[in-house]
Amino acid sequence: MARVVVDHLHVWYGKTHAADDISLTVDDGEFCVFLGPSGCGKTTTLRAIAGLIKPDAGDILIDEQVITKLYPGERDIAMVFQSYALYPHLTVAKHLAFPLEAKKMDKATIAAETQRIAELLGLTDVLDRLPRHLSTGQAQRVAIARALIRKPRVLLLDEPLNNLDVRLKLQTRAVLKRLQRDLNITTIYVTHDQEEAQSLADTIVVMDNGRIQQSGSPMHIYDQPVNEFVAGFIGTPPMNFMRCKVERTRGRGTYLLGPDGFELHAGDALSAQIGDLPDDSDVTIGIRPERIALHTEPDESLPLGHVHIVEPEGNDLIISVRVGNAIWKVRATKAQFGGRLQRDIPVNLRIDQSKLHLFAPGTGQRIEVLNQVNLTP
Amino acid sequence: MSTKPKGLGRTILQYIPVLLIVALFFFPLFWMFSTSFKQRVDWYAVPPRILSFTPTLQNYDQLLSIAIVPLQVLIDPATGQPKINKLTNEPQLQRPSQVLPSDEYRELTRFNLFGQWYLVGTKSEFLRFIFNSIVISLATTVFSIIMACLTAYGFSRFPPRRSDNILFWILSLRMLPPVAVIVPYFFMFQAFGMLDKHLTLILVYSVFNISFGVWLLKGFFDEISPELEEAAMMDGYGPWAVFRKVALPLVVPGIATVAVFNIIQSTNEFLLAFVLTQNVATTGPVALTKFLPPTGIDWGGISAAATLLVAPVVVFTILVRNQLIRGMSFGQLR
Repeated sequence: MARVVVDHLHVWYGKTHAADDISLTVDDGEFCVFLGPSGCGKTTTLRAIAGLIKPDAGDILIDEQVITKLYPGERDIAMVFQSYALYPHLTVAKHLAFPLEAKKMDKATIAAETQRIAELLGLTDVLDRLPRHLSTGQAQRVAIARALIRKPRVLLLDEPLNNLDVRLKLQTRAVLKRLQRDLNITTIYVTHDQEEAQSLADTIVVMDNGRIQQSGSPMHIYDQPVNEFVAGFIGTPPMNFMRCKVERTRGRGTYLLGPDGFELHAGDALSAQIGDLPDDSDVTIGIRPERIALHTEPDESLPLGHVHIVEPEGNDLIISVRVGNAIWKVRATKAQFGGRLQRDIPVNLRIDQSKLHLFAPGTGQRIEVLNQVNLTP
Repeated sequence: MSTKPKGLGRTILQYIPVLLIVALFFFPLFWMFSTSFKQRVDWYAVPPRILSFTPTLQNYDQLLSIAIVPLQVLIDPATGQPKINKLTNEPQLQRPSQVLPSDEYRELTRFNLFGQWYLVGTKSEFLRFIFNSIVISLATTVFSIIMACLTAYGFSRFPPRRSDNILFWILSLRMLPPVAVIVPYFFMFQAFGMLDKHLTLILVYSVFNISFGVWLLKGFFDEISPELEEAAMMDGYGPWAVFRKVALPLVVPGIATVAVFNIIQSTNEFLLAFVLTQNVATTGPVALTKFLPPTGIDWGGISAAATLLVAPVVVFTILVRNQLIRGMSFGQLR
């Protein structure tokens, strides 16, 4: 039962501000994922919570108790490292007993607990082996078992699935999520893989440049990214962007004009979103690949593009389309286009305008958010 | 992986250079070993008798024969009480010459066990010097490994400012030729009344060996991933326990290497031991010179003595050879 609070955390590495005013709360039993590109401060924050690095400012609390000054071993936090950090000279059984021996438990209890956790993670057959005789999957499970055996208040995982092949990754992901739910243990998980984050998390904290960009449920972050960075980081293939200018022509409504003749007529919803942005002001539009439909029949009212390349992906096709001066990715089903999409044929793009995101160029902030900020005194 | 079976001829060809090199380095050792079993007539035989000689254990007999005999307390016939030495206030004992097996034996030491005095006699004092060598080597090795491990770990994990410079300074201690420091050492230890003491040689040898150990072991500690130690911290261990339970077991190959180098160096060392000891703490190599009397060199005795001196080092090296091979490849864990 543990609630983790990080309160205005700052970490400097020399002149690099690795963690810049990080504040967040992870509720009891919550699965929280720190997501971001490498060097974004996610691992720094995790290691500060673990006690492996000293923050320059700010506090870390577990259940209202300030643990910032405590030694890692005194925090009752367990961690699974990216490299697993298995001790080369200890057998699996000794690995599992290691954290319990630190607590000076009696031998009988240690043996019983080792057996219990080994059964839970399917390690009973390899208890006598040294780490170098384990498969990657087994090594991974030993690392998790060692972290869980002493029933810590908080479990930290630092990119634990990185070294696994794709199949094993998916498998372990499911095991991990199941385990976390069953044990109801407060978990913080660091990854740069947004798919992994979306599949595991109750809450995703997206970080970049040492700052928290956005935190919220996977759905929320996917649908309402607060800025261009979050929008572009979440989702495969990533969101398509285009720098446009707002233009209002009397009688014909509002247009978004992009480079090289890109022209998008704004419907009611989009016009409302554009709101009172002045004419000629810059705006970056963002649209997810699955929110664009391609049509081969000519239609003057829709933006035009040319097929660049087609990549099949399972039941879908990922179609790269040259639009204006950019290449957009569009997701379509195989059923819709059999083999009919050749290179360079013109296509019309029907954009689902209710799912179009607008960002302010420069700051990259979401426009409706900006407007709200502007309205509040 | 499949390899073509190599022809026997080719294998033999490949081994020939190896054998030649080994033979070159091994021959002096072999010559020493065989001479230690030769009688006087065979030492200088021309052509040399490599194997065709009548072996004898006489040389070893001279060195190793020990007689341990109980000593009677002399009784004063007048009073029926033990005679007391007026100077030392101890009971007077029988004279060694009355109890030792023959004239060849001289007293080495005496000890008291359960109130009974015993005399230890040998034909040669050499055993005592070998014992000195072993004591000094082991003490040097244990002491310098402990110091080197702690220092190397410190430099590896918590490097101070300018640690490279400090490390170079430590290494530079090793660069000093012993001749350069021998005179200052002599006067220094003389001033402290520490000449001819075991401790003196242990300290002096440690200076050389610690610096070597620090450098070698630092490489080993550097190889250990910091994540391993962080994992141990997360598992609830303090810094000292992390060092003892995680770092130290992983550098055992390095420790074995340092130990072998230490033992070889401190068993072999001649110059410092020659100058800083007279008799009490004299080590084996220095004692070997006692086989060079003006009347002619006792090659049988000197060879047997040298063999005895080399033997413990060889045995130790064989015992740790598995660790040693890993250690020589400088810290490739796994």
